[in-house]
Amino acid sequence: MAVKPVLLTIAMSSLLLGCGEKAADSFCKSHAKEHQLHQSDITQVNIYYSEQGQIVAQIKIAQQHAHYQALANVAKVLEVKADKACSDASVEITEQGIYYQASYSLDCGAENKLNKVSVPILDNFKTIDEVEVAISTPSSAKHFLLSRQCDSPIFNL
Amino acid sequence: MISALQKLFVSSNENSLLSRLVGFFASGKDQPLTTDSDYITKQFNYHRRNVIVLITLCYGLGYVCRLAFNVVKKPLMDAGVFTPEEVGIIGATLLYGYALGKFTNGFLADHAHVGRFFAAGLFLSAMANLGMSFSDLAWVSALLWGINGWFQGFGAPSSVVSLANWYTNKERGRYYGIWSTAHSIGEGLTYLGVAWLIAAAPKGLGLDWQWGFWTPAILCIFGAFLLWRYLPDRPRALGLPTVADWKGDHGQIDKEHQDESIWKTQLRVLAIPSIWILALASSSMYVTRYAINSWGNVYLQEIRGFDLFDANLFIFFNTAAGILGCLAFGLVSDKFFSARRPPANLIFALLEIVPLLVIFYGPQDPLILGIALVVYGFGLSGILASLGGLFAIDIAPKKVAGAAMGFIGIFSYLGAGAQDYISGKMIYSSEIIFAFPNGDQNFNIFFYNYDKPIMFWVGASVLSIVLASSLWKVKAAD
Repeated sequence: MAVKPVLLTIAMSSLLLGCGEKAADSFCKSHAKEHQLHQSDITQVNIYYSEQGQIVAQIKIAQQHAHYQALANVAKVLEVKADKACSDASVEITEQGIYYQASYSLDCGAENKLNKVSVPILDNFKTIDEVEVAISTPSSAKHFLLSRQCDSPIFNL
Repeated sequence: MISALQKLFVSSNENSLLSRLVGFFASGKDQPLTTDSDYITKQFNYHRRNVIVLITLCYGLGYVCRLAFNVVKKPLMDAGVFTPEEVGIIGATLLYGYALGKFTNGFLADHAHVGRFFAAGLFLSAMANLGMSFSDLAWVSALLWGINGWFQGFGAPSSVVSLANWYTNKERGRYYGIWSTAHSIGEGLTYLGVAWLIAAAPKGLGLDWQWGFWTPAILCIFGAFLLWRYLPDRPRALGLPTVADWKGDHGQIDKEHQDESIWKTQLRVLAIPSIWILALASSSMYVTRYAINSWGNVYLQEIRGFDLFDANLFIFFNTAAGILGCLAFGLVSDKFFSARRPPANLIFALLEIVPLLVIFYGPQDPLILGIALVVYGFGLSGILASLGGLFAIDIAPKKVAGAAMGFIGIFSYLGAGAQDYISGKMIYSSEIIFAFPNGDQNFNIFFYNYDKPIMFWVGASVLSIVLASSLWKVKAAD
């Protein structure tokens, strides 16, 4: 008699876990199409890397997610690793309604090989659920979404 | 005449398993010539039809057993069976195994009953594919896939020997062109057919990755049976005259070396400067060919922003156009230039290089890109049909066509393999990672610059045609 409740519990748990996974999976697969509906509300990151070695990162973020001081701290937003050191980043932050518009620019030089550009905003601004990113380099450009619910970026927006 | 190879082994031990095996695969003795001209004509018509159908169909089926791994690469990585690095190593072993196979088997094919030889290669390739479906150890798969490369090397020399035995210099271009469509047929079957089996619904059947090996294996076993049963030995082994005698179509006869052994003639091939130049030209063109095959798809997604489906579709169009390119090359060189390949080489090389420039440096319009890829596929397949074999068969003595093809083949695939390594290294050296850390999880977006690899790929094509054009005055041998 005791077997039935155990089996039932296992079955229900599996079902719930399964459904949980499916829901997240389903969101990640379908969100590219639905993203437009809330596009204007979410955090946006635009990064331009020019042939001359200039890097400009622009971030539009709701004030509820970030304090001015935190945004002014470049290390919380942008870290660049290159063969040679880049110039210190200049920061400009303006308020636009309920948003901050932050711009970071630095010069790494045309002959400098860029290795890694880290943008730790998901780590440092914990209330952000989703970020829309556009990156442009001299060779190509990519546009994608990062969601805490998904294991990988969402392309083809 | 019993082949030198058979003699070698039979003399050492008349009944040993090895000598019986070699005897089984060796080409038959020359039979007394039949005098009935009607019978001869009927036999030639029957066998010539069989030869072209079988070598085209079965070489195409063989391609599926060669390319299967490319289709299942991503499912294998997604399933955590192999890392991308392991996948790269496994893929490379095939190219090197194939280079070796084309060379060694080219020499063997000249001595072989090609029906049995080709069938054995296809059957063993099917076995390697079956083995791959059961392996989740990288070293085992690398070994199996490398051996598969060697088995794959049975097909081209056997086909070329058949073409040399059953078609004359003046008509070989057309038949070689028909046979060369096998590349495109095989690639189409793989990239659309096998991919359809593995791709997730609704675009595909969503079968397990193992079906990506089982299906090619079944096709190759079927092909092996057809070859075994219907692909004939040399005309002289069937009591028929040589095709040149039957058609009265002789090239330049090298009387000095007419009676020398096949082995000696094979070695003499290596002393022909034109063969070396052609080998380098073919090698350079294979750099471009495999660059587009291996990296073109990734380039279209990475740099041009197409999704996976569209990128594959573009590559498929390029492959499909290749069928026409092969046919057109044979026809153009045979009909308009009296079987002289160099003028046709130049025309097709321009049809390959100009669209290549448009693809990489031209307008970003998808329609123009699509047209350029189609013309590129057309031109490339034509020039490859020539540099990869047809021109070599013309230049080399016909009785060692397999060796000439094998020699060109090893250069071509060493070029292809080196290309993969060099391109990968160049692409990797340009890598920029944009990282978005999220606790334990890291979103890494990779950017690559293809400027240097593109110069390498286009430059290889230019070098190839310069080398091939230097053979402008070289004439066909008998």
